[in-house]
Parts: sequence; C-alpha cells; structure tokens
Amino acid sequence: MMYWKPTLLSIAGLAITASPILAQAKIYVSIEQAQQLLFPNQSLVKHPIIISKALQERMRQASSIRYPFTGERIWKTSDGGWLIIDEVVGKHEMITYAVGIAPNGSVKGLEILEYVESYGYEVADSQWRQQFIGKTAGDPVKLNQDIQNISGATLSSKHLTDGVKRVLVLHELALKSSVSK
Amino acid sequence: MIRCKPMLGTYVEIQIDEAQVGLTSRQTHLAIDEAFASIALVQSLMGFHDRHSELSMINRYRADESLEIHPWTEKVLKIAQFICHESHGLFDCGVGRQLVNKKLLPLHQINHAPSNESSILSIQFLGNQIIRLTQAVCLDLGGIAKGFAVDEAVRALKLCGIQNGVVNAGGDLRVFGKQSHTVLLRSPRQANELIQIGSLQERAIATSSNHTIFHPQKGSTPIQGSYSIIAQECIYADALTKVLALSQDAHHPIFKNYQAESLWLPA
Repeated sequence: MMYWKPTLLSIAGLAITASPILAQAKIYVSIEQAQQLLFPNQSLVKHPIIISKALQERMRQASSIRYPFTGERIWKTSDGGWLIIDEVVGKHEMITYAVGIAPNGSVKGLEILEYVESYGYEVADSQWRQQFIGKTAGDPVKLNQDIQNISGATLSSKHLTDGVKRVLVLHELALKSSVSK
Repeated sequence: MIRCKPMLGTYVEIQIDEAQVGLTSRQTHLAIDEAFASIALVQSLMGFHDRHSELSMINRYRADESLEIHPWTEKVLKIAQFICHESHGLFDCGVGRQLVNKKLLPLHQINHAPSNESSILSIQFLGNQIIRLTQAVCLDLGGIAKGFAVDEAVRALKLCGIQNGVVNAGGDLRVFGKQSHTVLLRSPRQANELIQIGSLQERAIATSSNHTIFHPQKGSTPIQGSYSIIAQECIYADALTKVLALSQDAHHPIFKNYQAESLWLPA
C-alpha cells in the first residue's frame, strides 16, 4: 500500500520544476464557535468599552504591541467571565484570536480565529494555477480551503503571547472592576 | 473542522474531517480539547524555557544523581538516545548549551554540564521511570518533543473515537485515518512560496530548516535548505530531519530502520 503519493513531478527534480503557490489566509473558528468553545452553554452579553489613552498606553507597555486595541469585541458572562477578541500583527502575519478569562482573572482558554500571512494571498498567475490543479495526484487543491497542511520553517508564536499580555492588562485595569457595576 | 492554538512556541493546528461516524460536534470538540491537553502536558514536561519542567530538573542535576520522571519523558529520552546511537552522535539532544551560547535558548538556571561536552548518552535508564546521570547534561528536546507531542495528540484523538484527521505543530505534522491529505512545503527560498509535495495517508512529515540545527561535536550549522523526513510516527520524522541536515546524506542508512523517506530542498 502506498502511503505517500508524491506529485507527478519527480522528487529528484522537485527543487527546479515545482511551481510555487502563495501562502493564504486560514480561517479556523467563527466568533460564535469560539464563544461556545471557551464558555460552553453560557450566555454572553456584548460589553464594548472605550479605551482611554492612558489605558491604551498601559497595554502598550505591558505587551510592546504598538497599534491600538479596539474595545468593541468584548463579551461578559453572568458570573464574571470575559471573552475578548483581539488581533496581533507580526512582520509576516496577522492573527485574530479570542481569549476567555475566568471570573478569577486567569486565562480560561484561547482560540485562534484567523491566521493571515501578510505577504500576497492571491495567486497571481491564473494560467499556472490551472496547470497546477491538473497536476495534483488526488485531491485538487482548493485555494483558501485546503491550504492547511504546511510543513516547513516553524513560525514563532511570540506575537500572540504579547497579545495575551495586553488582554490581561485590559482585564486587570478596565474589565474586572466593571463586573460589580 | 479545524482549530489552532499557540503551543510549543508555534501554532498547533488540529484538523478533523467532517462527519466522524457516530460523533456529535460537541464530542468532536471535546476530543480536540483532549488532544490539545496532551500537547500542553508534553510542553510542561519537556520545555526548555520552563524552569519547572522535568527537562529543566534533569538539566539542574549533577553527575551520579538519579530521579524519577514521567513515562512520556522517559519514552522521549529513550528514543532520543537510541537515535543518537544509531546516527553515531549526529543526533544528540545534549546540544542545549550550544543553543544557549548562540542565544537561541535562555539559560535561566544552574547547569553543571561542561560547556561543550553534554550528551544524551550520559543518561542511564534504571527502570520504573528512574534515570541516573553519569555526567551532568544540558539537554534540549526541541528536536524531538514536538514530534512526540503530535503523536500523543493523534493518540488522544483516536481514543476519543476520531477516525480521520491531521495534527500540525508548526510543520511537524501527522495524517491519520483512511483519508489522504495534500501536504505543502514552505519553500526554503521564500516563505510565501508553498510547494505541493504530494498527499500523505497514515504518515507523518517533519521539516527543519538549517537555522536551529547544530552539529553536536563541531558546532557547525548545515548548509541552507529545507530538510524533511516522512515516517510512520512524527517523533521519528522530527528527529531524523536533524540526521538528514547534518549528514547531508539523503540515503543515510538510519532512514531504512524507520522506513523513512527523505526530502531535501536546497535553498
């Protein structure tokens, strides 16, 4: 039984002959799915806040992320839990993620919603793309959908770690106290 | 259904094919949660960055001290030692200090290993998850634990009744079940180029670039390129990429022992 079906291109000539395709946006879960995953069977109430300049600055200091946080995508649960959606922009990527914060202030969980490679996510050469689809061994590669199983240089998740730091500062300074109101 | 979390210093994707026989979507998500929890456990046991990990504990010990470790840590150390033997020292997780010296890893604790002479061969297995060090070590399991984490995630998914899927930890990926999956390789020349290498079924692939690989004895890095291994389990694929990169031999005899295939793209 053949477990690895190489493309029709011979592997020996791979480096020279294989045509490249461009990296894509990957969508993992929706906001609604993330809410269900982080706070199953709990109802969430949208709770947008206005981020003051001072708060923005504190969040920047804590995370070294420069671009501003927008306070629109915040929800709270009846028992004092929070769900916050934020984005981090790296040199090569933009990641939308959801953080669930438990009533005691600890991180309950994290889900990545979307991962976009910041360099070109469209295929420039459509003629070539047709060739490519004809060449696949079994499953035709559907752009935007099947571009998931990428092996290669490991991407660092440091930016996201910084993002979570600023979300925790937001919780500490602005959200925690608003529960009792 | 596909979910992604930041773990092991990278992004871990777990992809489950739709319509798993006899499972609700809630059960599928719980299975994915279990798989992520397995990866989190591997991270907490074998992370170099975490000073409370078992790995950090081992790295703090002196020669002749013995300690009890988790069965997973024991398994990874045993396989790492075995591959070290079989590759005649080309794959040696004792390179921790060299990675620290190159500022690729932080040294946040006392370490008694001589700066350039630590080796995984200094570990003796005494049975019942007890190990003894014949010499102090500075181990980094970065070249093997990620593959093991992928294998454990796959095991967790299968135990929960998932029949088909893919686990991908930043390029160490394993496909399981009847369905085959197309696998793409990031070009070593340009990160935004992806190369379709074919489709995998019941197999794992791992890819290493040259940046973080050091020759355990010479301290040199391999020439630029992307080094991939396809094997049955991801732990072997992960470890053997280093043998490929350092030996520069696509037909190194060790690959046959694991029915592994190599794929080397020069930059």
